[in-house]
Amino acid sequence: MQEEMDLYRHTDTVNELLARYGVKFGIYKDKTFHEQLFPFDAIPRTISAEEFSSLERGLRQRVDALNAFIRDVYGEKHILRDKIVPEEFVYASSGYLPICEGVTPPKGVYAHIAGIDLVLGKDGSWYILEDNLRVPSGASYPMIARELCRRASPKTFTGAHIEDNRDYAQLLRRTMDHVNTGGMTVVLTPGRYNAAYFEHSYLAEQTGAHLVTGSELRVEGDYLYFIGYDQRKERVGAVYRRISDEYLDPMNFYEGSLIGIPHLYDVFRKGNVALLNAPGNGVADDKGIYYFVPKMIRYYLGEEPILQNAPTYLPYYPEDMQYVLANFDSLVLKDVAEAGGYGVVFGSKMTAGQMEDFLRQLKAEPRRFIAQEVIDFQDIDIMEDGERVPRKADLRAFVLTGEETMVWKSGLTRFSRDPHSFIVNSSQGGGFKDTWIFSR
Amino acid sequence: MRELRFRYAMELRFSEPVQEHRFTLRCFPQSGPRQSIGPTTLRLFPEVSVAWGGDGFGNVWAYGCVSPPHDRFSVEIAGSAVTGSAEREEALPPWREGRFRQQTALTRPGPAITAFHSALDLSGPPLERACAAMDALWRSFRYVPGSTDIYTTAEQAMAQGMGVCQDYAHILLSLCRLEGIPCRYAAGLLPGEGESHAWVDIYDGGCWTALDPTHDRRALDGYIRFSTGQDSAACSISRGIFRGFARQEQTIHAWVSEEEEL
Amino acid sequence: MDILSLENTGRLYWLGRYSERVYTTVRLFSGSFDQLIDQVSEDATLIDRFCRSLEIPNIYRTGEEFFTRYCFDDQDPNSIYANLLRAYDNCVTLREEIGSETVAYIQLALYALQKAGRSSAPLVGLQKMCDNILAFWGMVDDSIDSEYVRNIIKIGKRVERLDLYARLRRPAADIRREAHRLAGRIPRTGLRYDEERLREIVALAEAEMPDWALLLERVEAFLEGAT
Repeated sequence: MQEEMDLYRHTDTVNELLARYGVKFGIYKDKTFHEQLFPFDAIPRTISAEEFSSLERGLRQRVDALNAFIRDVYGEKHILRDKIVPEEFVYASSGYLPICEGVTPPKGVYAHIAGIDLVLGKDGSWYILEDNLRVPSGASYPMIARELCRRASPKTFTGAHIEDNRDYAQLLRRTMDHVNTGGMTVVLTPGRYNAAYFEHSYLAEQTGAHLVTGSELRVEGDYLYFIGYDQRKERVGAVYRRISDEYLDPMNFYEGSLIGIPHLYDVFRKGNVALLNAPGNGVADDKGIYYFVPKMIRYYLGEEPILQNAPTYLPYYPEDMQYVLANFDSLVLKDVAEAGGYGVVFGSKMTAGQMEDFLRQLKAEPRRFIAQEVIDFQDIDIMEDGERVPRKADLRAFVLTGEETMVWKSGLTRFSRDPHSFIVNSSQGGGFKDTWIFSR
Repeated sequence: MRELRFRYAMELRFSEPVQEHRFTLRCFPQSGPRQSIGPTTLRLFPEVSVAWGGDGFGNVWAYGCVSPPHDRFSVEIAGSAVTGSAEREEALPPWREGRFRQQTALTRPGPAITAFHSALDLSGPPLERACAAMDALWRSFRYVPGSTDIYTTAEQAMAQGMGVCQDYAHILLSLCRLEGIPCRYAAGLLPGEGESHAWVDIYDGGCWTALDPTHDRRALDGYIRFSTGQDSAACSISRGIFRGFARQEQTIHAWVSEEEEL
Repeated sequence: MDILSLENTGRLYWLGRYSERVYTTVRLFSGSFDQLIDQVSEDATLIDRFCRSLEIPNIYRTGEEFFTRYCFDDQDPNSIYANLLRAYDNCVTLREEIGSETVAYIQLALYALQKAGRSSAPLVGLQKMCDNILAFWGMVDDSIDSEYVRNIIKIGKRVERLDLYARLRRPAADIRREAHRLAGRIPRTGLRYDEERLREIVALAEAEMPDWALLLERVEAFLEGAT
């Protein structure tokens, strides 16, 4: 496409503009904080209107089932009664928080903002890699990149029928307003030295919410307040929190947390503030629970899953263990407790010694691991030194649940700069692309 | 059935003044099939208002904040209770109580508990097995005040062979969970004077039945329950954080009797 | 939204102060920088005088070293770079208060300073940095809706300028003008302040022979309670 070519010529301009607006992520190297630009590649991932509509249905279905699962797990637990999911996969999961038992969040929504990671296989179908229901990040990057691409190369977009993705802020605002219990809406950040601080501040600006740290909020009695200059108080009705569960409230979770708000969970439990996402969601995005999501879709919605999981084995089941041992070299093994691209190993890349250690662990704690077939992804081209070269890339789709379940018509496409790596996580040195959904 | 009066007083003294002191207190017995609680009074010093929290499973707590600098914080709750009105209390169906089958950081068995468990010859329904485990524990474990603290795990206590009521309870929880029996920690008071007490609820036949491993008996008459949870951490009677570098010293005075207090 | 936390009020104030500190020191001393170009000997009186007036230790051995370290050294806590970094650190935490477009100019000033440090003609680069700070001030006036937010940044700017002018012994007329600008701004902010102290500062600045040390002390102490 000729129009696309114009944008590619402006890749440097777009990257300069991204630098101008401080589009960065932070990393810790040798225990000191560094800010890094997030390299942008101008060749977009494109998805046709038809393909997207099927993706959209599949993602909504999946997130609806996940929300139903979390509600069930912290409530009546029918899925355990009916033995669709073995009890211990829930109760022994590190994401399961007993404190959330019997607590229903405002409007019954648990996963308001879900980041679902997918890859496109060479067979042309999408596979779900991972569900992120706690504090998924990344929407701000394609959102601001689109703004800047349009500035750098307007003619690329003229008559191109690309869905405008800059409405993410409105979708997010609607989601927050839907569950707001009365009062102001804030984005709660752990602070300036968090990897995703740019995103926290940008989403606050774009949604018109107040960006706050824990020390600016305070529980008094049954409510949460923002404490203004001169101790003026204003009630808070919704907190889009970008702090993980354990640090949220030192009186109810990890006592040593300095970034949390004491008694926040007590106010939440009374239904007097909405937390997005709700605490306890980790029980549903555990890598072990992932295996059961297609079963959840059938169980709660009575529908066949539209999107498929990557073929996954649970060594917990003896027949799966046998398969894993027999096909070790062709599988990727994941530790269910780890995130961010860590704890992922390829059977074929282990030395004999590593393999022996790993097998010992696997046999001792089978529930801790899942094994997956290595999916042959479709590569996407990136520009490197003026040339197009293929790289591995995934897609993080954002699904927002408020009054209805909405799929953002874009997504974060991350790629690995290393041609031999399958791991596209930004904390491991990748770059990103915009994701274009065509409107027709 | 036994009618009792109770009083529980807790005082914290700080080596220097602290502020922004946030607290959660779990010392409020609630009426249920096994106990009914009469009117209670609560006194706090410094005097501050509290908000009430609860978890929908019979646990109720008070929380609040003392903002100005203070070097003393005290709580006193007093009231009356009828205990032992039932032997059992109906529980939720087993799949809903499954969390009580999971070991926690405080109950997770190590070599000492595993060895003790494999030497037991347990059979029969859950309550029978739990009673046998309790009995065996009581015979080999010594009650030695001050030999453990609130952070001591079941395994550490078992390895040293002695502890207090919290340790008896944690070890029994650990053993029952090894048996796959859902069970929970209970915190509360016993007739007499001194500190608070801890025992265990065993899930059997769709009901909770209380065992007191420290005394090797069923916990019926006289047991006033404050709260239940997966382990002692979930039932801690007082939890607090504050601003300041003070050391704190806690004194507890619990009193339960059939008589009017003098 | 009109409610602002104590933390952010402090950050706005310091954003104003640090950006002003960077801008005014570069502006006032571009003359001295010019003289340093000719200076090959180790005559350090110029540098010494400068350091003393700013109450910073003179750790610089040569004019060239002074120039590179004072402007660009990220390890020197008194450098322009360090001060701009402080402005930046406050700025990035205020995105939703002052807007991405405004934040961008401090970011650009930082890039310009970094680039100037690598260039053989750093004065040109410093000029670019100042252009961005001026654009930042333009954005503060033009695009921040909340009068309160605008006022706090400007108070920081005015306090810093008065402070610098007094330290660097600027002409009395300049100082008087800055004292009046500060005194005019403060009542519009809604900040807590001590009227008596403010009157004292104006009186000190208006004196025939201003007591510099006292004026400085009063200015420094003035908003401590408020920020």
